Amino acid sequence: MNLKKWTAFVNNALWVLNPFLLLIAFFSEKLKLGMYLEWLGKMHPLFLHFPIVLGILIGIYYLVDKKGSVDSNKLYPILVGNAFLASIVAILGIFISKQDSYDDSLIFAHQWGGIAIAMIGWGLIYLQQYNQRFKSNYILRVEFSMVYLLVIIIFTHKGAQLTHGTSVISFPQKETAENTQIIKVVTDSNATLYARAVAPILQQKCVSCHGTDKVKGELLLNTPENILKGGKDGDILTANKDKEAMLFERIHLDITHKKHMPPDGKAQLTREEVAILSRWIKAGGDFKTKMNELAKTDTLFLLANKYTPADNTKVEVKTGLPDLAEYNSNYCTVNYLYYGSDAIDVNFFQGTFYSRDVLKKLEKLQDQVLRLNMQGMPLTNEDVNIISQFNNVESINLNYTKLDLKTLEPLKQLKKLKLLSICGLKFTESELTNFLKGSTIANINIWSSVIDKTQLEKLVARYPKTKFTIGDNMESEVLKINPPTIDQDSSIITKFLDVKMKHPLNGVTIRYTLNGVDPDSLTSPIYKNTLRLTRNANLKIKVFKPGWIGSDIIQRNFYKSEIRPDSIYLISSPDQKYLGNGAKTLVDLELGGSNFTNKKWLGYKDTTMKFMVNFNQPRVLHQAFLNSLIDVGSYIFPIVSISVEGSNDGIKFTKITETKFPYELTQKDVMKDIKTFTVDFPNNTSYKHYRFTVLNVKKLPVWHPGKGTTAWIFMDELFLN
Amino acid sequence: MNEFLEHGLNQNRRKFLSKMSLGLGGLALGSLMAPGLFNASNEDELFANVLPHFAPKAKRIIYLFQNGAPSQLDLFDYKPLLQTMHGEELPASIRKGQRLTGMTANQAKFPLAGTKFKFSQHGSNGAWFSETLPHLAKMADDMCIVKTIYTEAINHDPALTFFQTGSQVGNRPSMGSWISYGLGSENKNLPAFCVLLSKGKGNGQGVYSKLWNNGFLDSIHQGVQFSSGEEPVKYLTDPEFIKRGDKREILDEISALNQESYKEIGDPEIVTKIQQYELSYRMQMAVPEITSLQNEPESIVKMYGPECLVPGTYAANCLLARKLSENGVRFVQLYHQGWDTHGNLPSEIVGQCKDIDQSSAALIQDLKQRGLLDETLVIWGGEFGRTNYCQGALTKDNYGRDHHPKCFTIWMAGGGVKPGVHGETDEFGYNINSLPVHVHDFHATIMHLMGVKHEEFTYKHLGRRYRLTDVSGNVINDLIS
Amino acid sequence: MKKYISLGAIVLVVIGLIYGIAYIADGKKGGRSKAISYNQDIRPILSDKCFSCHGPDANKVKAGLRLDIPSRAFAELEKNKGHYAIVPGFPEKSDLITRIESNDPAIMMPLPESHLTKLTKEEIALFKRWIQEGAKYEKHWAFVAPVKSALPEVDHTKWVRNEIDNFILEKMEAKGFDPNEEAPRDALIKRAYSDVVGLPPSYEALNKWRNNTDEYWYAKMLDELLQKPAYGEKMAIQWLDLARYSDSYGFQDDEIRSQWPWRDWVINSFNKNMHYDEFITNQIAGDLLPNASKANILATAFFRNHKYTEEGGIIEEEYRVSYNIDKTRTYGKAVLGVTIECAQCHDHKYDPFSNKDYYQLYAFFNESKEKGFEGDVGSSTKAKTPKLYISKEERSSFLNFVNTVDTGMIEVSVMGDWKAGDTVKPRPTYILSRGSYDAPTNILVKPTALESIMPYDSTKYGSNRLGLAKWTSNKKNPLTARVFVNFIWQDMFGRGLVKTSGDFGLQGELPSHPELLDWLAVDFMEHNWDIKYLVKKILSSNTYKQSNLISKKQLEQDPENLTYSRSPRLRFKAEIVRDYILSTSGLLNTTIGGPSVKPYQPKGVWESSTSGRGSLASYKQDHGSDIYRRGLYTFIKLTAPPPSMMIFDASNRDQCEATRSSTNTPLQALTMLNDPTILEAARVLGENTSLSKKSLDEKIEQAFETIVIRKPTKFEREKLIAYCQKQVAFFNTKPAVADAALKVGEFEHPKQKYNSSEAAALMKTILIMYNLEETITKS
Repeated sequence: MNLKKWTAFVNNALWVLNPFLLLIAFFSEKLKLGMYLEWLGKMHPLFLHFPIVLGILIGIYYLVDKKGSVDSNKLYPILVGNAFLASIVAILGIFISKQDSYDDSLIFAHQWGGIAIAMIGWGLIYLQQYNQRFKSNYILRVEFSMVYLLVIIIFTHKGAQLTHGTSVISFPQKETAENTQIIKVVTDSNATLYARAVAPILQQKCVSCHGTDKVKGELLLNTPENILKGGKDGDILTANKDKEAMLFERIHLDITHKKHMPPDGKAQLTREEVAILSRWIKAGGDFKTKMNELAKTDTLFLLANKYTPADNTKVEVKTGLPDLAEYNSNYCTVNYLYYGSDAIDVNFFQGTFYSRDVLKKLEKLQDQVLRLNMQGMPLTNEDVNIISQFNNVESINLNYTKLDLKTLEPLKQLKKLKLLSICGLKFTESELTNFLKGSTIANINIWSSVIDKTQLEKLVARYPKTKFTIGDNMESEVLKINPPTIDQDSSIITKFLDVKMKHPLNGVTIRYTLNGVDPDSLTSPIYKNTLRLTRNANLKIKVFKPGWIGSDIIQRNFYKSEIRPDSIYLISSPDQKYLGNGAKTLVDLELGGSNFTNKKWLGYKDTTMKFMVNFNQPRVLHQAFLNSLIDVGSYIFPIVSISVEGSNDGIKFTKITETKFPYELTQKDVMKDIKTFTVDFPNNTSYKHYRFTVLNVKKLPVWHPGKGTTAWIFMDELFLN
Repeated sequence: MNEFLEHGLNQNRRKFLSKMSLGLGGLALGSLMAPGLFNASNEDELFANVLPHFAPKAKRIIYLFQNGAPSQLDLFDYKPLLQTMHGEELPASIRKGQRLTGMTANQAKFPLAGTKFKFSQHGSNGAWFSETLPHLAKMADDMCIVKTIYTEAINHDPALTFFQTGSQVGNRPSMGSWISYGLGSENKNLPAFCVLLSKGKGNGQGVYSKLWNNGFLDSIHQGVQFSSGEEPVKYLTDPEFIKRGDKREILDEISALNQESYKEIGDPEIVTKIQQYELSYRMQMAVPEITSLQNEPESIVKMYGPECLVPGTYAANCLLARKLSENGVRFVQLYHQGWDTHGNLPSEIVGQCKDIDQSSAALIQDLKQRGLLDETLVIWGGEFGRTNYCQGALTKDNYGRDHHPKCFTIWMAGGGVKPGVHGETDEFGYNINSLPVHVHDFHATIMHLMGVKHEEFTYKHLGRRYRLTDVSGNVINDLIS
Repeated sequence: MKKYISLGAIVLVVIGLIYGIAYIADGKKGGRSKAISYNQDIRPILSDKCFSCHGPDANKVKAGLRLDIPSRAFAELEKNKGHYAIVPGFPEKSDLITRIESNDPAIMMPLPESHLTKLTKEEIALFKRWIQEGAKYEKHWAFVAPVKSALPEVDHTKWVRNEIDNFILEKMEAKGFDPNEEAPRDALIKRAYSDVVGLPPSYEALNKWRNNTDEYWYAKMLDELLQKPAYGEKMAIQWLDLARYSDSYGFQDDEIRSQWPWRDWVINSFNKNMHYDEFITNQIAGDLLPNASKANILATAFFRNHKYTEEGGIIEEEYRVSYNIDKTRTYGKAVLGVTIECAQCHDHKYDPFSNKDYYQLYAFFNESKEKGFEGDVGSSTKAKTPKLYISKEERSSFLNFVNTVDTGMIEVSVMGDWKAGDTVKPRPTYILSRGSYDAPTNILVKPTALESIMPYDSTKYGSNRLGLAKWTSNKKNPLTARVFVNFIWQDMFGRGLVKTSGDFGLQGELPSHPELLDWLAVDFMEHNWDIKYLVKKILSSNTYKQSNLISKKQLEQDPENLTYSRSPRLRFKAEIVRDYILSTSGLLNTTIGGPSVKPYQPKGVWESSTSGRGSLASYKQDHGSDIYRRGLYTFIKLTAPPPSMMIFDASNRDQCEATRSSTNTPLQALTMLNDPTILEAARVLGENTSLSKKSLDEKIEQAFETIVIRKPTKFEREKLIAYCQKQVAFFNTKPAVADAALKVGEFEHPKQKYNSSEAAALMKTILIMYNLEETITKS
């Protein structure tokens, strides 16, 4: 197919494309696309350059060619091609516009602009072909081409803005500091308002021209001093009666005004920033006011407090603060002091796992480390050398690192070092004096050094500039050691019972007795890994350790309980509140403990306690223990008497024994205790049924708050042997 | 920031944190280790939760909670007038129809009860201490004593819950959980939030696990209960027949097999699991090493008092608290029961003070001499105060006191607080004259000391933004040095 | 001329073409429809950023502006005459836009003080578009009754098994994902077992289903599982969380209570497949049903599971009120999925619930005879009035699901113990100012359900709980079915279609698949609230049956699995972890119901926190078969819940809890390795395995299949065998250690003689199997 045919075909195609274009343009809101068309859309940026270039050339051609000498037939294919490309691009444009949500206003302009271009291009074919006036009249052509070019430039630029951002092809902006620098913000609440908000704004938006590397209008805005100094027109902060303060005025001027600051084309102040600066100036523009001195409701406070330099955070994430992950390990945490700060806080834990490489890594951050905690790490002078490179470190904790003072010498070069903790290091007086020579460290913790306290106090008194924490050394004091813990919950010996005792301190001697006698430090048996009990025991234990007063004696009763009844029941019911677990309570081999409300006790008051113990076969009994609670404060008194009757048929009972427990409770011993009451049976007592009757105090003594009323008794266990 | 983004953000955080060593890490660590992770569109919201917001004064907290409410009038808040007016009726003008608990509500008279203890002044600020606290008195110059804290609840459960979670009811995260969530653990082999319990001989109230509950935060932020007994942490000790070597071998087997199924399935949770097992292994070594008393010099034992060698005592817990804190635990929470002195106050309170006096003082001293006090905030106090009038029969030397929410005393030390005595109550010790500090203010201040803006540190749950200080609370700058 | 005709023709063709494109695109829902939806796009932002000051809470409304209702939003601004917050169609004229765009603290919204962050560009754009398009408001989706929408078209029609798949696949395709393959049979078996009965298949059952050649084997398996009594136990777990069930009263002394018969009622109801409407009616108002049986009354214990104080000296009314507040909250969250409690002190800030609405609902519960305080721990009883007494006879006859060896009367706290002829006299309810008991206003309210959800006609329903029950289970109620269906979905997929399953309100998250949720809800009601039907429906879908492999793409683009293009890998709930281990080891005691039990527990958990008063001051562990009961029977002491459960994210039962978190912590690792329960399980299974005649290799394989529910891979097989052999060798040299190992736990050793070093070796190998991530994870 020769060029002519092609052109004809394309020209026809235009009759399809352009209506299509208009249609989808009008219904673009409604338009939905399959992914293929969308994909086509992506071609838009690819093709658009052709019609632009072609269009511009054509425009220029009409400008230059005064006579219109070129033959239409020669122009024809070019114009057709131009129109065709324009339409295609426009269509693709609409497709692509469906994909991402662009700024609607720009889209609108660009879309219709594009369509206009396409249409003009199309129209141009026919103008050139059939319109004689156009062909003949140069002026007309010029006017036309002007419009055409203008349209092309404006609306394609709109498109460029969509993709390359609004600043594309606007005046070249050189990469000033403000686009890249990290603006630090002191968010800590007793920072000054200036440091918190004002300085950062100036830093970011002004200093590029009013800073050291460039001083416009002799004005420097980088430090309070310079700001106060003002520029060539003098003071910029104070207003006089007819005129606002200059800084205030400049930032409020309309952007078109040539005195407006920052100048058009430079990064502008946000409304928030303007607000902060103006309010600050109005408030007298001073540099001292602290954030926490402002009322929490003060707008200026709210503004400043909320302020973060535009893009600041982004910048940080992009460039600034390195990710500390690689420095963190299982036994060492490395963190920024707070978010946005570049100061670093380092903590080592668990000396057993210390590795120098971890510390070595930190050399990369040596200027950032502010606090270093190496307590208990097994350090050597090599480590200290690494540490001594952290030239901004303010506090170092070397407690219990087993270093000797000589190795610490390098630390004295650390100019910023304010706090050094060296508790638990062993050193002599002279070593300390040597170390303190020429040290400028403000605070030193030297607690638990081997040097005697008074000497130490004398010594440090010579260094008034340094604050020492000596702490307390109580080595000398003689205190009473604490008793051991008995590691055996049960108190009941069936066949035998193994008792273990523990004491947390090393080098203690545990002595015990089983007969109720107080243990002494000489004769009483010494406890070794276990103590096996085989019969009733009143275990008393006392701990001894050189340099300590012997411990209090602790005691525990252990009860032998060989014989378990086949059944047991309560003849008289306990008080409703203290039913315990019924008769079982007496034989569940579980003691009630000191708390009588815990349902492990049977409580009797007005009814006399009676219970029956049964065996399937007659059983010989030698001894019975009844365990009972005494809590005089709560009206719980000791048992008065226990009497036991026996029977084999369960009907006819014969009295076996009655044991009285005479007691003399005086007001003095307001006692709380758990006591065992023993009943001894005459030899070869043997019955199937044993009936127990337990009597309680009927009249409380006069000294007791409840004098005259009956006392409680509480039982938790019966032991038979 | 819209639902999805925020949600996605939390998700990221959670997913990420759970993957971080131990999952005990907090936002701070998390976000700093991978800033790119939180690519949400709205920075401010994002960074509002990247902690700390500013340079913290305190890095760690030890909270000595006195469960049951100690009587401020017999310990710190000295009111001679009450002694002179001992037995006289509380003037209605002072009481102003304050609500009463059921225990004294139907009491006909409200006889004032003056303390039976001698008071004396200590330290450069001339702070008053009762004779029951000789050791603490020595530390007066390190203590920031707040006489004018007040609360809203008058019963133990709600009051405790309020102090610990910032809300009287409901399943809100405890202070420690918030801190754990926000700041994470310093020592990656220990939980960020540990809890220690002890009992005095006085009238107890019991504590509830919901006090150290994580509420709507992940349960990794739940307080981990430590005991000074043989097993410091539940399930920590291996059965005897599994020796360390065996254990290592078992873990290797497990992780090898888990690795394999990760290759097959590709679920990152499996990797997390592997890490958690490794961590548990490290914990098993770290914890006993840290909790063991064996390597403590005797002078320390003597300082805290020999009681500190008896597992489960307050003294033992104070010592343990120091060791944990020193090893990087952010928040150590102690509870000491037995302060609920409705009756027999004089005898009971002596016992309670004996429990806490020496060891609390020792804790301050111990931290101080190690150079740790500046970065460790110690707090001591109960859930409310006690009345200036007597509950039950008033005799010359015996009395009881009921709950009193309108003013009571707590003290703090270290961690950037300003030593001294803050606030004054009226001469009856019933109302506040100056510098009232509400519980929310107290929380706000603590958060501030930790470098956190309490208003911005929020967590969105069921569509609502929650924070420790609920909807109020101001930082009390007078308490900050 | 011809040319022009042809052109015209072409033009026509093109026009047709465009409309074609447009039409097809329209047909595709979820395609890039650009029309702004108030519910989807606008309200989430409004309620998040604006409603706290310009929302439903009448007392908090600033500048008289409300943005939650059009009439107020379009009205002239009170404070600023001539200005309008929203001018439909004209963003530029709408102050709202100016203010959200502004940075000037004087006018910007949200205000700096609010600590709410500025709207993002995208959000602002949304608002512009919305106003442009006429600022159309819509009623909140959840408060509009659900309707079955037509099943969406999908490309990959072959994959669709039932309706669920249409909805899921359609979204999946829209997001460009493909469903995973169907999971391998073993995985399906483990999965279905864990979801329906919360137990693993026995080795035999596993093989039975494996080798089943029937093409409907899966459906058959589901039917069989749904008939197992264990189904009720599994389903109960979630309901117990919602009902904050516990075995003690909470608060300081925390004495024992006996609500467990209610727990058994729940299990029984699920097993009988009591339909949800009946299920909920009984629990809300069983006692008020005409001639209510004891079973009906027992159901109402649901509302009495809250904490109950026994602290001396409390103010009775204060607590009575707090109990009713708890009841109201629980009803709202568990049944309606709304955070009604927010309206306790003030009008709800986000949802259309006024303070008055709250107390009208509260009034239903206020009528009960409940007291605030019945004496302290010293005189504690196992239930508080109103009580239901259940005698031994009743237990053996019609209440036979209440299972206990105890011979005496059992008492349970319930809502009503009305004697014949009793007439319920509702206690008058006044609005409490700031929700505090001691500040009643003089505004009297009568019991009425939340009318903004559905009108409440008291003449039709009556004004007691029975009315509330009818209103709740009315098929027109937009929430009841949705909420329950969502809970079931959550139980199966780990996340509800509405993620905030406890909050369907404005602040809750929007459903990921709204049409599906509605379809399921309606379908559920159409099948008369048949729960088993619902469960089977979900489990039969191909969505459910996908494999759980995670591709890189899924991990990167859909880590949360919002598209359901794979089956979720969820760690079992705390209770199930326990059940799984007991069951696989053969220790599990399958008794159903009865008083809660006290298995192994670390020392001092109760002792260290107790006040020292009451019968729960110290933990008295049970013995014998009791310590091998399923997890949901473990005794829950509110102030010190069982650690092994809490460590695995169980609810602390302090309050109604709708979703559990699922974490992965070192404490879990410690528990899995050192909890005596697990060591014992390993031991017992080890011993029994060592008894069989098989070779060591075969023994290990069988153990693996029993525990992990699939055949080991070559790698696994070799690794474990190698380890075990090594251990055997070791124990042969150290028999004493072997014996020490086998001492673990109270369960008696097998009668027959067995090789102890092999048993011990197997024990350790099995311990490893129990600790595999996969073992306690849904396959």
